Amino acid sequence: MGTVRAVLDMNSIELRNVSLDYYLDNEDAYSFKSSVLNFYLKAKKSRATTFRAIENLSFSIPKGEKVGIIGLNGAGKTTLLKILSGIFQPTKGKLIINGNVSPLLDFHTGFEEYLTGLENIKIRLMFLGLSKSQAEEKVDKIAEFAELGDFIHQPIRKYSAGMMMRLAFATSTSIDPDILVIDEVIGTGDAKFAAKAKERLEHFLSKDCTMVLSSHSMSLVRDFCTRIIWLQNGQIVADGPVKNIISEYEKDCTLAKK
Amino acid sequence: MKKNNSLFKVIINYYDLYYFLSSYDVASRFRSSRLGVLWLVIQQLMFALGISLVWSNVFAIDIYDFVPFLTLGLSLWGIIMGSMTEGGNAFLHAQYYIKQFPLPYSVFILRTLLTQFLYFGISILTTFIVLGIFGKLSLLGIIYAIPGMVVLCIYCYSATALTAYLCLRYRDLNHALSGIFGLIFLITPIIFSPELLIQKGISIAIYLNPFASLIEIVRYPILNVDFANLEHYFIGLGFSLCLLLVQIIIQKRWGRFVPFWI
Repeated sequence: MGTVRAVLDMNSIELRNVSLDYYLDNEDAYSFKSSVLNFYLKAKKSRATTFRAIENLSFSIPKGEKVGIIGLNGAGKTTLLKILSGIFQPTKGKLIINGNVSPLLDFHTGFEEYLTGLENIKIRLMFLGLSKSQAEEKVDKIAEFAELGDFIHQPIRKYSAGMMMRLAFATSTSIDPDILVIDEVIGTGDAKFAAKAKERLEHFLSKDCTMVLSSHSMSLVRDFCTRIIWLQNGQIVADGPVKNIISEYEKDCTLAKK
Repeated sequence: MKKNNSLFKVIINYYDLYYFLSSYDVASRFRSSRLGVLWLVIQQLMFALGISLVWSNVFAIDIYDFVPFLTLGLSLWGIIMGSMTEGGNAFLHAQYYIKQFPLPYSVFILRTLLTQFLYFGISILTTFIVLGIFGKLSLLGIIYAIPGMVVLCIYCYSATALTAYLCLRYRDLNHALSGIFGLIFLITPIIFSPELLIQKGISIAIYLNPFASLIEIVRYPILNVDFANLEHYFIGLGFSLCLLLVQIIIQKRWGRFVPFWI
């Protein structure tokens, strides 16, 4: 038993036969009126249709490993990251996470529109698990990194998309999580901030923080990851060292083009 | 992560977060008005006094009895209705948070609940001032109301959490609820006194209406410095616990679907 525990502790993330279904809407599924009517009319229950986004995935990620998730649109990258973040519960299978996860999934939503940039930084930090006093300590540094100038005192609804992204990125990467889950983010923003963002992420590379990153940019994956998981239709096509898999993936993509 | 979060843990651990969001909710409602929260007070006073002037004549009740009765009743009705109708928005308003942060969902229920309690706090203070002016306020009465308040709190949490899940599943339910509560308002002894119904021999209309009991167990003690009828406590508590039970079952069965349904 002791050895099992020890082995488990070495892994930050472990998935065992994890599947995830999306529930597809049928027109009336969300109406109370139709549900009651159907109940009384004894209408045949239309079976809820599902879409299997993740199919029977099993893998583990040791502590400190940086893993890149690649694949075409709709391959299940974001879904997988949401499972790893604890936002989606798998329909089937088991997920074991050791450590606290900081998800960086969406940089354009999740703000209180009428609050200022500073206050939104605080809220976001608290959403990521910090206490109010811890959050207040970090606010100034984050504001500086986001380079929003006086706009930091303006309500978020006055911000451009790029400004929101900068604020969210600066906030979410300011903490030191055990596991960092990043979804296709660094491509956005201008070149100057992209460079800065990359530098920020490199800071995580040196630490023993586990990182899972999904991206369409092969150069990014090459720079940051030591292992690649290639997804297609919710299944793993290949899992291994960066070099081999990227060349195969790129070959596959060019073949598809022709 | 979510599994180990009992409600009490969430209440303590996430206090900073939902308190921040709730106070923002209250503040943002009065963002562009100079009077701010005072609007709530004015609104409440106008409503209570306006109705009192007309209906005290209709029922031939002394206005000095009627204004405290009505103001308190309306204030309690505010939180009773608010728990259900606003609870329906708890998850819907938090959809972007739920989609990107792995937080226990009760944080958003607590946010909505606390917002309602903050509004209620303002309105009950206003009510106490009115009661004071009309000579109906006594500390002992408020102490007598404590058991009733406890029951009311159980109701408020259960109602908010229950409608949060139900309205997420059934998107048209929120509209239905506001309609239903319009009706319940008219048949619940808020504008008229429960004695009026008892005199007419239709006391069943009160005892079948759990909302009447919920109001009675707080209003009667404050105004009469005594406990309300025991039946009202049983009905109020029974109703609240039923809601709580249904809510717990639904949360267990539907909890994992929340991010998909949103």
